[in-house]
Parts: sequence; C-alpha cells; structure tokens
Amino acid sequence: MGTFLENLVTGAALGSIYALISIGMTMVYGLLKILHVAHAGVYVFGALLGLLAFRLTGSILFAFPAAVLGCALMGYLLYRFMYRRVQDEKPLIPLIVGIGMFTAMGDAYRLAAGPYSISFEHGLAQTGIVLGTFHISFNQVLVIGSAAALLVLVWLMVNKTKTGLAWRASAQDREVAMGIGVNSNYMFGLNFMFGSALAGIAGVLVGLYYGAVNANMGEVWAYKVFVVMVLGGLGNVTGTVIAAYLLGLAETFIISSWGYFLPRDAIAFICMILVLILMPNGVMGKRKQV
Amino acid sequence: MKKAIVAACLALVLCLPLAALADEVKIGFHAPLTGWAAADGQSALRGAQLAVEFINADGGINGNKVAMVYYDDRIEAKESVIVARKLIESDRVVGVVSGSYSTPTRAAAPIYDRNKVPYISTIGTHPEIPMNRDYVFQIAVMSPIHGRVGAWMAAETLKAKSAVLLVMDNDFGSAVTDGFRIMAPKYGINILKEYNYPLGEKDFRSLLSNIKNDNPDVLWASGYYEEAAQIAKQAKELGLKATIIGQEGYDSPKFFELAGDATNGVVITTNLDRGSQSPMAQKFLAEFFKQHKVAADMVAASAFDGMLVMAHAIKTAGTKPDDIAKAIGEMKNFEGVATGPLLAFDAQGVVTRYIPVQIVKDQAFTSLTVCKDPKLITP
Repeated sequence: MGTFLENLVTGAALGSIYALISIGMTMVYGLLKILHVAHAGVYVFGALLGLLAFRLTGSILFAFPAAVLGCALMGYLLYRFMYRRVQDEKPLIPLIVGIGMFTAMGDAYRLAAGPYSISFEHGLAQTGIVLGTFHISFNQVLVIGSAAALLVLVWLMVNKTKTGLAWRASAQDREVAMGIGVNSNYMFGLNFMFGSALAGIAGVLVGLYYGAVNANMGEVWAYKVFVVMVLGGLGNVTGTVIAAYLLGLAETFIISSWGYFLPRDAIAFICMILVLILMPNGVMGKRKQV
Repeated sequence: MKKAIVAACLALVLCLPLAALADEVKIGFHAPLTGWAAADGQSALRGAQLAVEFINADGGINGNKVAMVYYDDRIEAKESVIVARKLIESDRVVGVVSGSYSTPTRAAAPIYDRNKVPYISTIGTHPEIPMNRDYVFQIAVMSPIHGRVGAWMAAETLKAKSAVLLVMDNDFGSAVTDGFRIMAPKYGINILKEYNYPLGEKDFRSLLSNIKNDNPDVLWASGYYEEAAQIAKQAKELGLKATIIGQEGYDSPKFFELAGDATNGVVITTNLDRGSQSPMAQKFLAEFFKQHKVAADMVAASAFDGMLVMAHAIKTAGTKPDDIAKAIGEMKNFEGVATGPLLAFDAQGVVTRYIPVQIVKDQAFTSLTVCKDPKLITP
C-alpha cells in the first residue's frame, strides 16, 4: 500500500511538471497553429534564471519571480522578433525557425552555464511527511501544490476573464475575432508571455525537484511536449493537462511494475501511438460530426 | 625577392617545431573536456597537468622537459579516432595517455597499437582495450573487480545478508554488477531482486519505492555521479535504510555538490585511497587541493598516474616504442603513483592493484578498508 501511494505521488509530481511545460506550447498551437519547439528552450532559461536568482539571494522565493519575469520577456521577444515575421507562412517555416532558435539557445546556455549539472539544492529538500513506510518529500509537495495552484489560475484566466474570452475567440476563428475588435497581435504576444512564464516556473520546479539544473535539460522536452499535446488533442488546454497527469502516472506505474523494459520516453510515444489509433482527437476529443 | 621572403618564412615556421622538439619529450593526452562527461574530463586534465608539473620540477625525463599535447575527445568514439591521428601524425608524440571512458579509449586503442605508439588507459575499464595489443596498457580497475570487492566488503565489513541490485544499462554498469552477482552468494549474501535503469535517468523514485519494500541490507547501485547523486538523494527522501554501495563512477566532487548530505554513509570501491600513507598520494592530494580548491577525485588521480607511468617508462627505457612498452609491462610494485602501488602488469597489459574502499563522512570520502585478496583483485 505504501509503495502504491508513493508511486501515486511520484506520478502526480511528474504529471504536474509535464502539465506546466506543455500548457504554453498548447496555447501557442491553439492560437497560431505553430509548433513552438523553442518552448523547451524557454523552460531551460527559467531553470537557469531561477538558479541565478537563488545563488544571488540565497532564497528560493526569489527564484520564481525571476523565472516568471525573465521567461515572459523572452517569450514576448521570441514572438515579436521571430514568430510574428513568419506567422502567416506555411506551418513548416515557423517550425524550422523554432528548431533553429532551440538549437541556438541550447548552445548559448552551454556556453554560459557549462556542460554539466549545477546543484540547485535548497535546505528543505530532505524534509517531508512520514506516515509509517509512506514518505512524501517537501519537494513533491512543492511541485504538486504549485502546479495545482497554477492550473487553477490558468483555468480562471481562460474561462472567467475577458482576455480569456478573447483568447478562446481567436483560437476558434482568428479572422472573425479580429472582425469583432480583438487585437490579435496583442493576444498572440500575451499568449506567448503567459505560456513562457509557466514554462519558467516549471524549469525552477524541475531544478528544485532533482536538485540540479543542466543546460541540456530541455532536449528531451523539445519533442516530448508533442506527445503530451497530441495525447491531449492538439491545442486543447484541459486535454493537455489531463494527458500530462495520465502520462506521469503511466510512466511511474509501468516502471514500478515491469522496470525499464522500455526507456521512459518510449512509453510516452507508445501512449501517443495508441491514442492516435484508438482516439485520434486526444483523450478529451469528441468524434467529429459528419 | 617576394618568393625568397615567403620561402624564408616557411622555413622558419617549419623549423620552429623541430627546434622545440629537440629538448622536450612530447606525451599525448585526451579526455572528454566537453559533453556529458566533461566534469570528469576536466578533472582528468588537471591530474595529468599536475603530473607533468611534478615530472618537470623533478628535472624532467633525463634532463628533457615533458610537454603534454592534449585534445578534447568529446566522449565520442569518432572524435577520439581523429585525436589519435593528430597525436600520431602531426604531433608525433612518444606515448599517449587516455583520461577518457571506455568508448573513446576502445575506439582509439587499435590505432595506437598499429602505429606502435604506447597507450595507457587510465579510467577506461573495458577488457577489450588492451586485449592482444602489445602497445596498449590499462591501469584502470577492471569492472568486475569492483563487484567482487563490493560483495566481499558488504559481507566482511558491513555484515550484510541481503542485497538488491540497481544496474545501469551500459557496459560499465553491467560489467561491475557481474562481479557482485557472482561473488555475493559465495559470501552468504542473498540477492533479493535486480532492477535495471537506462543511462541518464533522473527519476528513481518508483524503483526506490519498490526497493524499500524489498528491504535489503545493502543496495548495490552501479552508475556515474549524476545518477548516483539522484539515487542517494531520492533514497533518503523515501526513507530507504539500506547502505548504498557504489563504485568509482561515484568518485567525483560533483557527487557531493549534487546530493549534499544525502551522500553520507554511501560506500564505494575505487582506486584512490584518501587515507593513503604513500608519500606520492599525500603529495598529490595536497597539491591538487592547493591549486584547485577542490578535493581530487579518482579520475584526476588515474590520469596523474598514467602520465607518471609513461614518464617513468621513458626515463628507464628511452623513447623507442618497443622499449617503452617493455618497460611498462615489466613494472613491479611501482610506488611512484597516487593510487599505488601498481603491483604488476599481466600478459594482456592490465595492472593488478589493491582496491581501497571509501565511506562518505561529512560529504567527503574517507578510508573504510582495503582489499588485498589476490583472488578478488587479480583481473
């Protein structure tokens, strides 16, 4: 029983991280139909900025605002000076721009931070809740708790605010939304900033969760986010969140029961293939009306 | 006139290296200075540089200064082959020391052997590196020996009765574990379960939850410092009581940097005894710390030793490749190294040495015991 509960917590923590990273990319896809590969680079930027702020101030409380502000700015600049120039081209062109940006960012981080993992250790990492043989660490509480709070924030933002309404309108039909007075370029920029800020928080959380930050920690994410997006039905925020948690739990329980008969990321891709065969519109998808 | 100037310049440029060559002995070196093993590569380079400093301060090799020519192999086989060509053809080194892992070292070994350039592998443990090669030697500890000594130490020192194996899925991880798996039952240790994980894994929580349930006395976990740091940290978070037994892959200051307090109590088999009474070991540890403000690890010590072994062979036998190879092969009880003594080289060119076991106290390795049993330490 203790093992089952621990796996549940481990899976939920992984799912929380997956969700926070994927939301930004899903929002961009939902609005602009762009596969924003450089999003994984924004996530690493958040981790590095958070670490820098932590090193300078000695408190993890400063790591989060630093990552949020830095990544939001980076997201905006990426949109303003990169994607905005190509947003009306064929989808392949923004994709190539994204890949190029991601590669450049990866190398820049390596030059700035060095090629190896850097410690991101805060004093509370080893504390936690113990109930018999069942342990929850402070890190897991931190990750799951912050993700839950942020997801509620995203939900309120998308469903309860005027900006959220404009966002949904633009996602459904850009031209009509523009026709009724939604400033779409403004929406797109805001969208990039918001998603990037979430990725930045995810970067800090991952750094704290594993106690380490690495310049190449975004490499897996550059493609793994696609899996979460496809599982969730491309561009569907709620679906993406559900898919992220399902994937985190699936990975954890499969590894716990059968070990690594497949690498962790292969599990994700097999889930994606199964979903594409069985429910091609994602876990939240509805059959298209014919 | 122009032609004459160009010719003169060309002649000058061509003669410069020759002039430099006249009074120095060139020894080649390669290590992964970038890439995922960069922390080890940088440390190896520091060790090798310190060795050259010591040799030259001591009067060099028969009055000639030693010059080290080094390249980054990026922990890639194809890159270390290019490096080998450069060292042999353009730098024309007398011998080469590898401060790199098995994969790059194994790829380069046949090239050095074919070109009759003596080559010493210092941390590459793969048995094929020196096999049937007259000019290739290995002062690294052969992987299964770690497992054998680990099992001996678990039974004799830790009095363990049961173990779980956590095996990194690559050459190194499975080869070190082979030794443990064979030897543990002979010392009365019951192996309860075995789990594999891929290189580069960061999240061990689901496996560690299972292991906590298995409740072994010791957890034999193969891995490099990044994996080891996550294992130690997550094991502590989950409240695992078993003593973690690691190998030389853990032996890096990065292990302490990444896992902090969670490293205390971890036991490893390695080649650098921090409590060694050997004068060279003490001199090496003190000087390394003085220069770099960080404790030396086994990678630095191994590269340091590789350079010293090569220099010693050149000193006693001259610069002919056959003589150098013969001199290395015939070394016995060589004390002039940090991880010594090097007892002898076998017919394949693999060294036999005592294996120190270290335990982490206050985030530093300290001596626990030393294995001198020939049954366990002979390759």
